[in-house]
Amino acid sequence: MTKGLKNWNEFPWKDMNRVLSEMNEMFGEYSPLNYALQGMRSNQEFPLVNMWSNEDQVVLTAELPGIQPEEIGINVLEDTIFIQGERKNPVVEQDKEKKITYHRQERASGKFKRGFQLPFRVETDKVTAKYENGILKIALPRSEKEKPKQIKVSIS
Amino acid sequence: MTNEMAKKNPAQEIERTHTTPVFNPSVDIYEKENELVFVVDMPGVTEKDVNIQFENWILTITGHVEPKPLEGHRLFYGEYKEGDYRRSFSIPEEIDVEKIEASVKNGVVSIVLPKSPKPQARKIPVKIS
Repeated sequence: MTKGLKNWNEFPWKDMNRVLSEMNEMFGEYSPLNYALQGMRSNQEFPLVNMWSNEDQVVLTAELPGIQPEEIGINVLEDTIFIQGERKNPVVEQDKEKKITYHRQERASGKFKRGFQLPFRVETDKVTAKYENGILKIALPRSEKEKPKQIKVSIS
Repeated sequence: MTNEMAKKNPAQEIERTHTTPVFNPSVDIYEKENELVFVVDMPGVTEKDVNIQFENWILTITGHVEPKPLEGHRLFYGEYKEGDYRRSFSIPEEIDVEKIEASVKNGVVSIVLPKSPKPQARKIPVKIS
């Protein structure tokens, strides 16, 4: 399972990823790692992100409820991705004149930006993104140049 | 009143039979002259996955998300888990239960609870016997 990652060991963080995913496989869904990740829900990072991979691509999913798709900006450069945008508070916009009393305001609004390093360079032209039910899903295909090639040995 | 009762009857808490996580969604609650509005973040939820119940002055909002691992892929970095959402609120205002409206858009559930008209002060004539 982790064999495929061996090619990616250019940076130490990738080793960390491998260790974490091995832990994940050893302990399953209820590992301390996953509890730690669950705890992260309470911190202020926005949006929260998951990343999936196989030999050909990385798929990034982000929890971005209540955004207009056109407000989301995605920038990919080599092996780095940035997601940015703004979550507006529609109430403030619509009802400036009317009297509103807030009893609770837990939903964050305002500008956000997050960046991630990917395990490989990306074929920038082929990146696709979809926004559905408040979940942003970005497919980042691995650059053809970086895919492992099989070299045939010819007999002379 | 409702709050106190809830505290004294913990046995009423519904126990779950399966192990998918349940999350506390973030919520905004605001009040206008004629209505009370709830805005709840439930990423991944569609209108058919949302259940809203109003009973004994308690509003319960539930959203169901079936965790879907990406086929043929492996999660190598995770910040959030998928699962259900649930939150309950006690509603102190008089609410016109028949006119509660809810909608879902881009993973956000909005619920509007119209206030019922305040009962008019009624002067009770006292007869002289």
